[in-house]
Amino acid sequence: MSPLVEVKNLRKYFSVIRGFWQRRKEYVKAVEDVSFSIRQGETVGLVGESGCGKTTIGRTILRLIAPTAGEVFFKKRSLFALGDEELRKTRKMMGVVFQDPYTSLNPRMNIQSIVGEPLKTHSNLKGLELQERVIGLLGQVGLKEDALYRYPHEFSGGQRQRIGIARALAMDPEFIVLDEPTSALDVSVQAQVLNLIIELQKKLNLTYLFISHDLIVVNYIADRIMVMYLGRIVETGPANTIFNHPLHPYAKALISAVPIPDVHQQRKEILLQGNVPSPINVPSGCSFHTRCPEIKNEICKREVPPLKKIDEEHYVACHLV
Amino acid sequence: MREILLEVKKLETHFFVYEGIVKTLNKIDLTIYKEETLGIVGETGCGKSVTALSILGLVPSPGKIVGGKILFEGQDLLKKEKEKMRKIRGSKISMIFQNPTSSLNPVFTVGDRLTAVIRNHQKVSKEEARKRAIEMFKQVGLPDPRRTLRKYPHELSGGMQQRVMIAAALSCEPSLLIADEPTTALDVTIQAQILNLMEGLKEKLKTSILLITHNLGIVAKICDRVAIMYAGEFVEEAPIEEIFENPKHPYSKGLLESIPKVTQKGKLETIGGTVCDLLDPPSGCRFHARCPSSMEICQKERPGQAKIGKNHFVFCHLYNS
Repeated sequence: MSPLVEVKNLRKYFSVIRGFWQRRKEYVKAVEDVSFSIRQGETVGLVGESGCGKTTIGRTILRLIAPTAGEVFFKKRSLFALGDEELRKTRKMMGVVFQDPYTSLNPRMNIQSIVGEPLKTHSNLKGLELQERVIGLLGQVGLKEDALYRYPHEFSGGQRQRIGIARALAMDPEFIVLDEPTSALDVSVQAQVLNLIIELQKKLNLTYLFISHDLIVVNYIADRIMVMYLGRIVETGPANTIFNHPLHPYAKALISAVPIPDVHQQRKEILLQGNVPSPINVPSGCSFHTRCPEIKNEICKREVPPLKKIDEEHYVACHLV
Repeated sequence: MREILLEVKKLETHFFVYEGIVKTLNKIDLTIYKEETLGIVGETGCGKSVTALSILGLVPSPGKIVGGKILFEGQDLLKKEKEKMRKIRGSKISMIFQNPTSSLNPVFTVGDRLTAVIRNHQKVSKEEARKRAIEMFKQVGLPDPRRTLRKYPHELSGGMQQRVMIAAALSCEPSLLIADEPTTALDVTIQAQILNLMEGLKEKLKTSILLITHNLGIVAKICDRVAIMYAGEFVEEAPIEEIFENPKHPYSKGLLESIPKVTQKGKLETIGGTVCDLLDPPSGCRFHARCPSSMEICQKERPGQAKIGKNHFVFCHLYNS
């Protein structure tokens, strides 16, 4: 199958100005040389700790922020080369659901205008036709018609996230970036939203990039997982392989640290020393070498390890593997 | 028989708001034994934190404890005068909060914070307090304690701030440590470090821990016993093996089933309906409207405690006969 989304050598630096008289210009290297592809109909999970660049990748893929270098192909067309008109057409095929359902919905708009806004921008639907389409969308995410004229504050967290999903579905997209869609929700509500996300994927043949820091959720929902550390992908592979037999020392530590909700499946955790280094001064060579419990070679400090193929679809960026 | 450290009896905490009276805690009973870790689990707004604040006598206005007893080492905390309560807080019972960034004062160094706590509760000289602070910093694993003492909260990462909070909470060797979601704001690898630290210190100082969390994974990892809370009432209390293998209350079952499993990927079970409004809670069992096995009696009477096994209690009419 051909990839729906292809990312090649993506880089995103944010400039920060520092120092006396603000004379020093430095860069936060949020995303550093990232390449991957997502196939039609699959769910790719992107995991990592806060500040590792997960969200930045999600937003750059949608061209919500401009990249520093690299390319993103959506259906084989370079997203960054598109003109305004073409970009708007392409954007119809992409959707996004944000993390916090409390801040991603405008409190002064009612549900009809929130969900109907993309329809107004991209299609000619008006009046009753528009309303019918909105009702249809709300039905898809399990909300009733009476929600139309209500405002976001009248809904619970789970319901708001459903509204966010309805908005993302408005233009019948093929690809949706889900940026931590359930991390603000309680477990029982999270289960409802996850079920909905999976159900919609089957029904509408959607492709997901699922960003999360919750490895249990990602393992549950994703076909493939990518593990990020300081702006780079350190390991990628099928969900089961990554979750049960990770190879990269960071992936091992990260996965072993997840508390498993079962008394008999407790794993021996690998405790990492210290904190994540600042993305402004990324360590030389392998960016994980300062905290790596398995480090042996000098090469880790000098050279950036490339992603090496271990198995079908399983890639690891580590000198020791 | 284990010794009882803290006993909460028929505790009622209400919040008096414009719309009426919110009955946040509805005559709850709770026992904490010496040297154990008890987890309180429940969803947002079920009264977990209010339970902790009630024990410490810190219920914020417009909340008020309207009935019940809190027996700590044989004495009723609710009858203590303000001054005496102050002496107990921080020395015998101390607390760490969810967000370390907002619970440290940004204009004082973390050393000031720690020495203030020590000198408040013990008659020691400044020099002695400083020595103890350094000793505490060493115990919680902060690097270079002498220098860290002079740092301000913003110079430390989230994990290090939480270590400072733990150092302050344990500096007077309390017999009870209340931890309200201590790792929710932290990444998983840092979370693993903090949980390990808490477990180690608990062994060393023979402290009991009351851990409030919504993460059942953490409960499985470090708790001895767990109490599950729903809408201001405890619904089940059991040793952790029991709760994961043999949950009895329909709400506990629903809660456990709604967590994504590590091994299988089926559709997630969900609990129907939404959490009840505590302003106007349902009669009888507060869970009856959402309960799959609700009976007639559930709407009328509040279920009493039924004993399932050793230390395993459930509040449900299904088991009351």
